[in-house]
Amino acid sequence: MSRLRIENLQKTFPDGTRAVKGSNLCIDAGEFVVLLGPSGCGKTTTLRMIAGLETPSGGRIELADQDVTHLRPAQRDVGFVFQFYALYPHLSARENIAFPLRAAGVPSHQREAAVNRVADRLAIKHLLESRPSQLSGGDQQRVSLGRAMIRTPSIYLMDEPLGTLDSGLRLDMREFIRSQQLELKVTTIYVTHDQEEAMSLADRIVVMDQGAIMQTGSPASVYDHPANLFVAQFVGSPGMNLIAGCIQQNGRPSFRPHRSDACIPCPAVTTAGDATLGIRPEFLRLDPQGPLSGKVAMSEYMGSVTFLHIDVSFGRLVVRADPNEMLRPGDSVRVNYSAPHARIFDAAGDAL
Amino acid sequence: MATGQQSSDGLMKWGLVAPALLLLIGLNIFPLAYNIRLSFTKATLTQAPADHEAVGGRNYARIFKADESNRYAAALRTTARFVLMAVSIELLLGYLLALSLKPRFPGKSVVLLVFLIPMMLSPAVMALFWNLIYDEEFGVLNQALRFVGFASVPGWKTDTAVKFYTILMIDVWMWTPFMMLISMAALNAIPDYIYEAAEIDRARRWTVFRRITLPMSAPLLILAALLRTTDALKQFDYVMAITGPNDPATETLSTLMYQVMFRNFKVGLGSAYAIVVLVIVIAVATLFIRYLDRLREQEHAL
Repeated sequence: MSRLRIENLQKTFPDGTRAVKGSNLCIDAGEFVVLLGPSGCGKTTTLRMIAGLETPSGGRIELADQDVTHLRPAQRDVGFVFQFYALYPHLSARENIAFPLRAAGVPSHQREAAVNRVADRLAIKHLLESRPSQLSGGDQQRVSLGRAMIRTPSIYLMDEPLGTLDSGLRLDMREFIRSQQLELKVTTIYVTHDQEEAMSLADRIVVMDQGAIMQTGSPASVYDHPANLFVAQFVGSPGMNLIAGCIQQNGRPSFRPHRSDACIPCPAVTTAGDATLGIRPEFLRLDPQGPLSGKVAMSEYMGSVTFLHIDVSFGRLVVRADPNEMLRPGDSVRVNYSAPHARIFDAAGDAL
Repeated sequence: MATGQQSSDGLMKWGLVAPALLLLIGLNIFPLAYNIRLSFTKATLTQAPADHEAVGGRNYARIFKADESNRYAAALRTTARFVLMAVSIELLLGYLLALSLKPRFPGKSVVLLVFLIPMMLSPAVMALFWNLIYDEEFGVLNQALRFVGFASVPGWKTDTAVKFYTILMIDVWMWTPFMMLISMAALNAIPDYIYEAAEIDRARRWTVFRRITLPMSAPLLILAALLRTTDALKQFDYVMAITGPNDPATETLSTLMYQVMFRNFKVGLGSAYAIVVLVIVIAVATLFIRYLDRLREQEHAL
């Protein structure tokens, strides 16, 4: 049984912006799905339409096999975690978490018990009497999670919940959200522009750009087999190296980058003509016998790994190298690559 | 050299403060001190200061005399009743108007403009206009009432039981827009996402109003009520226009003071009364300032 089904969902704002241009998506019970994309890609609008905070301009939303397209948020069984927490500033953390129960008319002793249970789980028992303004961003987001959890809705919707936290806290909270989700097995849709966050949290990633879904799949499949150039570039940090050129079929396919005489091996494809070859930095390596020669332009030391930016005749490549590799800008190097890991995109930008 | 610098700095400071200080002393402190002195005399407006006859606390004794016919106490009661009724009616009406004007609708700005006009007009001029409207024979109000079929029409300005409310209605007409404006600001200051969160939390409209809208707009409402209280305490214009001073049914602190000082020329007694009024105003102002401080503290906590 699918928990959520979206059919041809569209949203055009009064100013004419087409935020969502007909999305289709099916989410199973217990799945953790991340909507990933740059700002303005329509991911938040999609989430808000699922919550009922935004009215779709077209299409259909089904929650637990029930058409909810035109129901108010209160009539859908959803929990929503806002990017800026949206806690009630005049209420204590305790009252904030208890608010959904109070709204439902649950008697006070039951409310108390439920709040304590949730607070235990979120490790915020000592903060319950504080006002939101007295709490750190991370703690405010915990309270906001608590408010969403107390009612056990059938689906959790999270709108960049960690977007405003600093990086250390973000990692902690990310881990926390993931462990909660694994334990409680609630269906979750999570919006973020941070591809690393998406990879680490998701069962399934939905990559969006300009109001359209670009690709849907497991983190590994999105990373290894990007459906198009946008996904190739957006997912991964740094993104895939993309080389524009053309495929030649002389017996076996080879790839010739534009503005270059170099001919590099290419995975087995049957087409010829203009194409883009994509290769991840980890499948390029420094090799004195490599077919590509270039000069180091920049070196990014990341601790466990160094990313070398190397200028070759047809552009710049990012190569993952051993952090012990002591290369300076201007040094000449040769680069080899693993052809089976290369991806080919056709002239329209779609993966072959 | 350092001391030279310091003393010239000191001179500079005093030089900068002096004009304001002189104004303060000349226009506030001296008159207040003189007023206190006058309040212990039997001075009249026509006497030279040398002839003021000291009477000790007799003026104050007269003001505080426990007596049914004590008009000073009566004016205080009338003013208190006026402030209480005016401020609460205006606050309630203003808030209700602001709530009902919250949703967007076509022509909203025109409606708002119409509602805000009374507030923009001069109270004294409006009082005179209302005087015409309320006229028993020729006033628009009674003509309208007769037209729709009322056989007997109220004596708005003469009926002892009605006069007070006549004046109250002018104040409500004039200042409800102010309360509406502040209420609208208070309501607009509540961010949309709070309502979205409440909607997600499945709060009913009444719960949203009672648990969110009302408590979150209350601080500004209280501020507005305090402002209006200090203002209504000074009620003078409408009373002067509708009944004139010296009418026991509508006599307020200000009109009584005017009557004693400038019609009866009893400057000594008037001064004593002014001091009593000052104490009342200081008490209200203190409440006001305390509340502002508390608001600031809360904002610090935010």
